Amino acid sequence: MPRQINIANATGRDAKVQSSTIKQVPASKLGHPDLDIAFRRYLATTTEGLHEALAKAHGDDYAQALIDGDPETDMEQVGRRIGTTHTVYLSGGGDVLHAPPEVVEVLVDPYGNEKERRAPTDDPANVNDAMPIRWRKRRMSRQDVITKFVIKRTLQIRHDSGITYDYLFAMAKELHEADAMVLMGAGEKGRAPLRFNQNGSPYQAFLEGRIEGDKYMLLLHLSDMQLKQPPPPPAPAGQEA
Amino acid sequence: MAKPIVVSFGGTESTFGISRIDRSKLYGRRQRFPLDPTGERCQRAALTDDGSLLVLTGMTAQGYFDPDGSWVPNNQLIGLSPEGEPVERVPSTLGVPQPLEGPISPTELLDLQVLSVYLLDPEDVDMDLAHKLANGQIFKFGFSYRGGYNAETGVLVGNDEGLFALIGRPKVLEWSELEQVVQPLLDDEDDDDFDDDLDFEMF
Repeated sequence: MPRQINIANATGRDAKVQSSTIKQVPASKLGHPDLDIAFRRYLATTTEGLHEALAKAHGDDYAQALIDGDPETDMEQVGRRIGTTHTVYLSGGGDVLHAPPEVVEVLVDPYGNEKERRAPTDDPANVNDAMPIRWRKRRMSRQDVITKFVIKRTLQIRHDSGITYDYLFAMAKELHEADAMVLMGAGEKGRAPLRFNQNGSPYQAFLEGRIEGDKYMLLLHLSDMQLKQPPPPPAPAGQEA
Repeated sequence: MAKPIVVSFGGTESTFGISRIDRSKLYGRRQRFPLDPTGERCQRAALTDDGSLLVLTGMTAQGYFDPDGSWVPNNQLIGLSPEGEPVERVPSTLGVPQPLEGPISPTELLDLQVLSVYLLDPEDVDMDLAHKLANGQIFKFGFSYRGGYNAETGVLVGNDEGLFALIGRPKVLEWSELEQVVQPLLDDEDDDDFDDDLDFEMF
């Protein structure tokens, strides 16, 4: 679905244009040769059929009880289709909370160790139709980009009028002829990584332009990961350098 | 441990051990936990639309059902193309030599929707291929981790940090032309100096 964004060109002039996420080619999927089937979520057991309840009722080794009496199967409920649901939170004691819970944010290192615990703060989106995303000074060859970064998503920037066609075509042509991609920035100073939604992932963005005759392709490649080795594991306690 | 990626280039095979990497393995991750009034971590659950059932983790399963609501066992299912035609199952490519194509252009990799990334451990690598990868050339090969109905494309990439395999599927790209106008939905000059350290921690 197209989304309006504001993008500046190399001279700092900006315009509101359309962007949409590029999809991958449609994949094959599981199906039935003769039936029109649907993938659905259904109830497989009730709370009485969960491990804790079964262990409490029949002891830890309850395999024979399952064979003998199917205590995990409530014939009135199992198989019921689960449609739309609403998220609720349960307290540590298993009771439904009737007020929003307090939320804590935890930073974990690559090895699963907690680094910091803090109150969460909201990170606002900085890509919208008001503030332009801007060209930064840094240009990179395609070769450099693909050997240093993993492109996770690509947006295609498109015109929505004759005027913005000229504007975007010129931008694509400049990058195409330079055979380079330009790093884009967002925010007041145009230096911040791009964040499309509040508290969404921030991305480094590389703008690529291609032209063929009067046609153009302006692609915003988004990366949240470098191509590099994971950091070495932390030294065991007492063996720090 | 996963079987290796084996590729064949110029008649010589090369073998790479693989370990999957993602953002959290490079930079860690940020998680948000809801806490109850006593400070204990909350459990997330789902309440059905009619409010009659509280669904906890482990209470649901998924499956295919026919229009009458009868469950269809997986062994009756086949792969169907987007056009509805039966497709052949693709076997796993791990441990099986795959012909390497290339070097390919950087644009070919940019036109691939990357789905997973593996760090490669060169176990037995042809010197010619190693040299080309070290010089920034990239190569593609067929890939399927477990086998299935969708073959993927793998691309071998080398840099100062090591060797990597990027796995993905082609993107659907379209040229923009003057006649093609996207309908809108209803709904600073002061730049930094060249800095090689882009911020990827971004917490």
